[in-house]
Amino acid sequence: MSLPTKEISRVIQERFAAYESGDHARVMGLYTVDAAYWDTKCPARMQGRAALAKYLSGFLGNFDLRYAMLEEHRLEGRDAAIVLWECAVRRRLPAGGFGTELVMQRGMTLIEVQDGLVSRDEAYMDLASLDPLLAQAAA
Amino acid sequence: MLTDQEIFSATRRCIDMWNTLDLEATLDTYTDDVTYCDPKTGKRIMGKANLRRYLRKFFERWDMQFVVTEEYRLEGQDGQAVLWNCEIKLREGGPSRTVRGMDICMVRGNRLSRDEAYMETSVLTELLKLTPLSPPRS
Repeated sequence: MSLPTKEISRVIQERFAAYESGDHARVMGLYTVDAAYWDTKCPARMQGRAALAKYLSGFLGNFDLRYAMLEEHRLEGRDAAIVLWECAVRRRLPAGGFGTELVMQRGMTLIEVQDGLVSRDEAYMDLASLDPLLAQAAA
Repeated sequence: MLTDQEIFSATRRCIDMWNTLDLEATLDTYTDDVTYCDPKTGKRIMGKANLRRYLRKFFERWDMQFVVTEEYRLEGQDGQAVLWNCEIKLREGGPSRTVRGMDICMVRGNRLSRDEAYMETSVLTELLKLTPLSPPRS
């Protein structure tokens, strides 16, 4: 423990940039093999890159994400930080391009870093506002 | 700078008061110029008087029991992140659901000067559908 704060910030910046890219392989390359993941749509904490890969493939395939990172705070004594963010979400269309509806999300994510990778990623947000986009994606 | 214990105690006291649904006791855990928000506030609520109006309506409708699961001090600040589980149900009764969430809290003296809560709110909608409602108390 005790990575420089700059290194934690670097991993966090890369994490959000990878999600914006929608590149599944790039996103999965961020996580340790045994990474723990949870967001407010997950019934339970997910453990391991394999489980996460399956979950995120649907999410990244369905949505285009554009983040604005508002605040980042390192947690004392831990290789971890919380990030407050806003995100503009659009549906990715199966034929390519994006839907016209834009939903703004605010949230807070807890990220722990180990060996330059994300070992824990927990995102707290109100995904209820994404339900119309989710319904469109499922249609 | 406050000690870790002072920061955690201020937040714990606030959460304990939320669990009682005692409006004034809960408000007493916030500074007069508190900034508060959660997914239901829409925008930030500034000041205790505005927070009183919001919480009065919220407490009239919902019964909550928070359990703190993790708490971390923010480096170099009088603040913390607190993770929690909350069992929530309508005060009229009916089923309950458990919600997980995280707050960022800033502490001044022994009170919270900032409290931002992040969680999923679809369970509230679900509970409203499941439970026949009487009008909110006036």
